[in-house]
Formats: sequence, structure tokens, C-alpha cells
Amino acid sequence: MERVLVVDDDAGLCQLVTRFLAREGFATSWAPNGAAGIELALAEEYSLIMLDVMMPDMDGFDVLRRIRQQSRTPVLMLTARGDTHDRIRGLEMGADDYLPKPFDPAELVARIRAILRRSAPHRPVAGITLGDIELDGGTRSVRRNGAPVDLTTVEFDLLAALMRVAGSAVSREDLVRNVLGREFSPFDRSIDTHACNLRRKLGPLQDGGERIKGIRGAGYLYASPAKPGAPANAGPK
Amino acid sequence: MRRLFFTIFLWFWLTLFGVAVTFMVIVLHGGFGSRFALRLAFHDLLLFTVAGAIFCYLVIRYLTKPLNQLSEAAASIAEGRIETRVDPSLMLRRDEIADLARNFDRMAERIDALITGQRRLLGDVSHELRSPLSRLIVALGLVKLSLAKQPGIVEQASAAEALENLERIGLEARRLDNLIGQLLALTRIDSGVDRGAAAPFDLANLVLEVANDGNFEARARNRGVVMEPAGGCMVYGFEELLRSAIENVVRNAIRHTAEGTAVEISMRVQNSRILLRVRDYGPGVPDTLLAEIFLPFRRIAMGDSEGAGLGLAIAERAVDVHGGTIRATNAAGGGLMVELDLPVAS
Repeated sequence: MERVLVVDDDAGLCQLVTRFLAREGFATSWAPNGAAGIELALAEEYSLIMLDVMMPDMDGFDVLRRIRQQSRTPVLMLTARGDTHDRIRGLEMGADDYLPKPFDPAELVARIRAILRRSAPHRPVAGITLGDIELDGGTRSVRRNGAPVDLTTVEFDLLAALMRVAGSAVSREDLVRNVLGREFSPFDRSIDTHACNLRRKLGPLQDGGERIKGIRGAGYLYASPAKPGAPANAGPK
Repeated sequence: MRRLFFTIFLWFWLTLFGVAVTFMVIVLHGGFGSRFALRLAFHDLLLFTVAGAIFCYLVIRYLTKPLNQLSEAAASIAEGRIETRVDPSLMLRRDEIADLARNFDRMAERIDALITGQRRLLGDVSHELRSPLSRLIVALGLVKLSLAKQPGIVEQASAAEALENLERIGLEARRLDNLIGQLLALTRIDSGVDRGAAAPFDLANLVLEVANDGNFEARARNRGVVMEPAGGCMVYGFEELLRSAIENVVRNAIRHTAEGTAVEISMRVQNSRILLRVRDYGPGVPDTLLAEIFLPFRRIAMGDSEGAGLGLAIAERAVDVHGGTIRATNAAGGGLMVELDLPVAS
């Protein structure tokens, strides 16, 4: 049975969520505040952590930072609806996804399943090397000029999806479906936030060009580092 | 500030210069013919001029530098850094400028307290209103789940009716949530809280993103959104705020456009103003009510009450923050046309 840790100060909500998740086959533990959340998250093994942003003792971002220092357990942030700053901040700090409160419990289960599918171990991804970036499918790690780049699971999958077809654009709809593992919903900008984070972490191409190009409102493209017949890596060292 | 500096400088310095010239004229008149007196007079003039210039420079610097610092602090607060205070060195002076600086800081503290309070209140309202809604929606999900999992019950007429009523409860809960969200958004815009930092961004790109998302949403209801290709044009301001403004206008148009039609978006730049048009093929709005649709909760009854009635009010305030205007007209051939007029980033 998958174990889920819920960190939220709203006892009533957690009770209901626990019941709902139990019916869907999840075992749930509850931490009523940030400190207890960190303690439980680091002491025991969970498949996923649901983390509320607004808690009286410590906000969700601090909890996320502390958890991320030691653990890579997937985190789903529960944010206030309409607060874009919270959403972007959470995803930047390494949360795997976010869900605005109030949420439909069926949607919650769908998101949890999507995150679990994504972070399932032993999911083979073909390794790709393009220009200065080396993507290792086995260890799910990325190196830039030999130096490791710390990416979240989503960012890794997004990079893999874009590099696989470097030079041609992938639509936002396809990216949401294949990378986030859920149906595209309009006016949801989380894929753009992930792309933005990835861009920031990887920096520009060696020649200073843009690595991940946004195709006006439509999708994203990983710039092909070399035109056919003009290898970028060639030349004396 | 530089203008003030030079005005005072010239005023002081010319006075001193005048005194020097008068003195020289007197000397010249008194000792006409004496080369020594003449040379002395020239020396005096030179001394007065140079010493006067230095003296004036120092005095004026002493007066305008603190004003400059105050001006910078005020600009910083206006840009949203409310924690800004004036340089403490200003308080060490023993003149009216020190009083001004102290009063400035008191004012800044008061604004800071007001905005922090407002922000906390908005956060609390959002949290306190939404927590019961969250529990309600999850509890509803549980009831639906147990109904659906009882074999054969869905076929019973009473159960079908119960499910329908449950759907209705869910719909109303979401509507309430929507309303809270929009009310908070409106209050945030009005109080200037949580806007983030102003920056230049490409409006054409933003509009295209909204149009694409709108088209996706509209397709599900056999409607569409089309956008005329537009060149890039930069706007200075708050991207997310303007995004919500345009999103509200476009979604409003999608709601009202007739089945099988598409909302049309066009954008052009003229005399460093951007004219963004969103046109639908719906029933339009009676001419007398056109200005009212931007007022909160002023819904023009047309059956469909899906929106909370605040979308266009949010759009109007957000456009206003960016120094633009928004207006609505009935398009020739039917349908509502909303026009946004925004300044291009300088």
C-alpha cells in the first residue's frame, strides 16, 4: 500500500482526506504542523508528501526546504487558489506539483497517481547527449560540461522530452500530458514554470544562444546545438 | 533636483559676483591711474569669484543632498519597497530637513503597517473562508464515492436524483470559491498589495498564450478563439495582473459567444499605444448598460450566470493600474467588442 504523509493544520480536512484516500487504496499519516511534518518526513518512508503552504507555526516553503535538504520524496503543495507567487515559489523550490485549495478529492487522487507514476523507480529513459548536456537515463541525472545539475523529477522528464526531439517544438498540451501525466487544462501555467526553472538551471548554450526556446504561447523547443554538417563539438581542444 | 541646484547656485554666486564687481568699480574710480590699485581690484574679483563659487557649491550641496535622499526613498516606496526608510544620517542634522526626514519615516512606517495589515487580513479571509469550503468539497466527494460504490444503487431513481443534487452542491461550492477568489483579487488590486515587481514584458506573447488557452477551453463547448497575428510589443508593468485582466475579458467573451462562432482577438500598435480588441458573437449588451458591465456584480442577465460577476471589474482595475483604459461597444453585426488601450513601454 502506498503511504502518504499529509502536513496540514486543518484536522477536519485531514480526517476527510484520510478517509477518501483510504477508499482509493492509500494509507495516510497526518502531521498537524510543520515541525511534526519535517520529523515524520525524514524519519519514515513515504511515497508522497502533501504539504499545505499556510500553516501557523512554519510556512510550507520552510518545511519543503528542510525536507529537500535530505530527502527527494515527491511533494505535492497545497496552495491558496489564485496565488501565483506561491505556486511558482513552490515549484522552484523543488515541489513536484501543486493543487489549489479547495480541491476536488478525485482531482487530488489523480494528481497523486500522476506523481507516483512519474517518480516510480526503474523507469527506463534513453540516455541522450547533446552539445554540453549529458542526460543519463539509468541514474536519472544530468551533467553539464561534466558537472552535475540538480534537477527535480519533473524537470528531468521535461528536459528528456525536449531533448529527444531537439530542434523541433513540443506543444504545451503534449508536455502536460507526457511530463506532468495529466490532462491539459487551460490557464494552468505550471508547465511554463517548470520550463522557466529548467532554463535557469541549465543556462544558455555554449555559444550564448537560448537553450530552451518558448514558441509563442504554443510550446517549447530545445535548440539543436549543431546544424547538420557543422558539428558544434568539433574543433581542437 | 539638478535644476534647483543650479538655480540656487546662480542666485548665490551672481550676488557675490555683483558685490565683487561693485567693489572693483569703486576701487577703479578711487585709484584711477594707479596700476597697483587696478591689479588689487582684479585680484579681488578673482578671489571673490572662486571663493564664492566654492562657498555656494558647499552650501547648496548641503541643502540639496538630503532632499535627493528623501526623493529616492519616496520613489523606492512608490515602487513597492515599503520597508524603505531615509538615511539615518539625515536625522543627525539640526534643521527643518531633519524634521522632514523624521516625519517621512513616520509616514512610511504607517503605510508599512497598513499594507502589512491589509495583506494579513486578505490572507486570513482567504484561509478562513476557504477552509470550510475545502472540507465541504472533500466530504461531498466521499458521499459521491460511497453512492457510486454501492452496487445497483445508481439505477434507482431516488439515487439518481440524489446524485444530481450532490452535483449541484458541488457546483455551488465551486462558484462560491470562485467568488472568494475574485473578490480577493479585486481587493488586492485596489490596495496595491502583492503585485510583485514591475518589469517590461511582451504583451503579444501574453495575449497569444491566453488566446491559445481560451481556444482550448472554448473547443470543448463547440466555440473557438482566433487571434490575428501580431508583432511583439513591450509593456511595462505587472505581467500576472495584466494576464488575469485579459484572461477575464477573453473568458467572458467565450461564455457569451454563440455556439459555432469564434471570439476574435486583434492587436495593433499606434502612436505608442496598444489597442487590443476582443470581440464575441453573442447577444451583445443594451447600449445604456455598456458602461455598467465594468462595475462589480453588475451582471447583465442573460441566463448564463456562470461567472461571479467580477471578471470585467478586475480587468478594468488592472488595466487602470497600467495607465490604460477599457471600454465596451456593440460591434457592427452583433456581439460585444471590448477594447483595451494600453501604453507601450518607453
